[in-house]
Amino acid sequence: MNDEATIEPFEAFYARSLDPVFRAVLLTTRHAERAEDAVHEAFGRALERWDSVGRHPNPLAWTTRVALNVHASGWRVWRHEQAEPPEVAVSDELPIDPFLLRAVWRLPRRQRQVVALRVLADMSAGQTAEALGISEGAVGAHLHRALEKLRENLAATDYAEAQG
Amino acid sequence: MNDDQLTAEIKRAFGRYRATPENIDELATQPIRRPARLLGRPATLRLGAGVFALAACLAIAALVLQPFAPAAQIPSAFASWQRVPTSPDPAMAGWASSHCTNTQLPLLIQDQRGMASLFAFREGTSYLLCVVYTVDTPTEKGWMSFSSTADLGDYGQAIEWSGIGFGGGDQGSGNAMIGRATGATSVVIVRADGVEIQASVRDGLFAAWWPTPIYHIGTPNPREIRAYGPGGNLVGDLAIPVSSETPYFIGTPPPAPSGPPASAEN
Repeated sequence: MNDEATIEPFEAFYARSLDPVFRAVLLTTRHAERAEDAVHEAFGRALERWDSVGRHPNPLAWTTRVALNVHASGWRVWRHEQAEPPEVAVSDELPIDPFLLRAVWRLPRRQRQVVALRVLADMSAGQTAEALGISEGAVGAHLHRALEKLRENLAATDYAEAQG
Repeated sequence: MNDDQLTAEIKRAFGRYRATPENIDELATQPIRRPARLLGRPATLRLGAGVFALAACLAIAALVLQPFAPAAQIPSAFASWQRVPTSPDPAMAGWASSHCTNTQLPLLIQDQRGMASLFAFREGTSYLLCVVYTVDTPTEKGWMSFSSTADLGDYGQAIEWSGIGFGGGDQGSGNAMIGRATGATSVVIVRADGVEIQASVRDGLFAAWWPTPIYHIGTPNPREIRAYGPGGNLVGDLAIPVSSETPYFIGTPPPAPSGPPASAEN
């Protein structure tokens, strides 16, 4: 836990955490705009309480959880979930990327949530379990199943075929 | 590819997604851009949390306080609401089963009222509540759904309930309730304004929803739940302290405050 002397400036926390939190919330919500709204609001709440949030064992986990709660506090309009991951052109894209992004995007909800928090937000199994209201064992099981499913799905794609 | 390699690949691939940074000075004054729902609350036991959540929403979003709003703001699909459930629309149930959930959850109960219906699905130990309603505008036609989860406590009462508020903005708002009433074959929910709503009941579970003015973000505000057995005898009667919270509105509040949404009722 951070103490008074080592509390990280909010600006530094914001700079290093904004994107990881956004990615986790994006994958959970499957909606870029709503994810961005929720993330900004969560960081706003973190800023307002930075004296205490800055001392939290994991402010990134705190903010991610708040962002997900903010998102959950609006009713989900499933029809508006985006069926495909947003297309963002990057110069260093690997051939596997489009297949991998799509496969992760299409994971069942709970598996997707666990990948978002454990992998993209680097939250511990305990923090993920707490955020999702499930046991740590269940977090491990969902992550295992998610990775298995991704391997299966990737093996069935043109990418795998091209790899021979 | 082993687990570590695969997770590293996922992380790398998602690295392309970046949020647009906000000016730090403006972060703390971010408005809430979407309606908030209150946490489901079994009877009074979680009322404090609801009050706290609402207060937090207020502090952050600077929501506008207004008295209860006029029924004229209720959109067309919700305007067909009735105090007594109408015949369940099986087509709407089929749509709900594939659109409200992505995992084919068991449907427990359907509370149809006019052109909108509340569905309760079993989701583990929770309930997924989904309100489906007809959209018929020049640009859209079809069904729309709102969904959220609710939990029923087990506090040893004959009647347990949980309620949530949903929606907001142009899509309409409402309150939905699910509950458990042991031995009941019919349930009446008495709203704070005295309106008695006949709930849909199945296997001891009951569910009902009712519309609220478009911008109203408030608590489900029943004051009593009465449960009746097969012979019409009262098997449970739960008085609920009416929340003293002032209803809140998000966005532009309705212009002329008046009474409850009585004109939406038959």
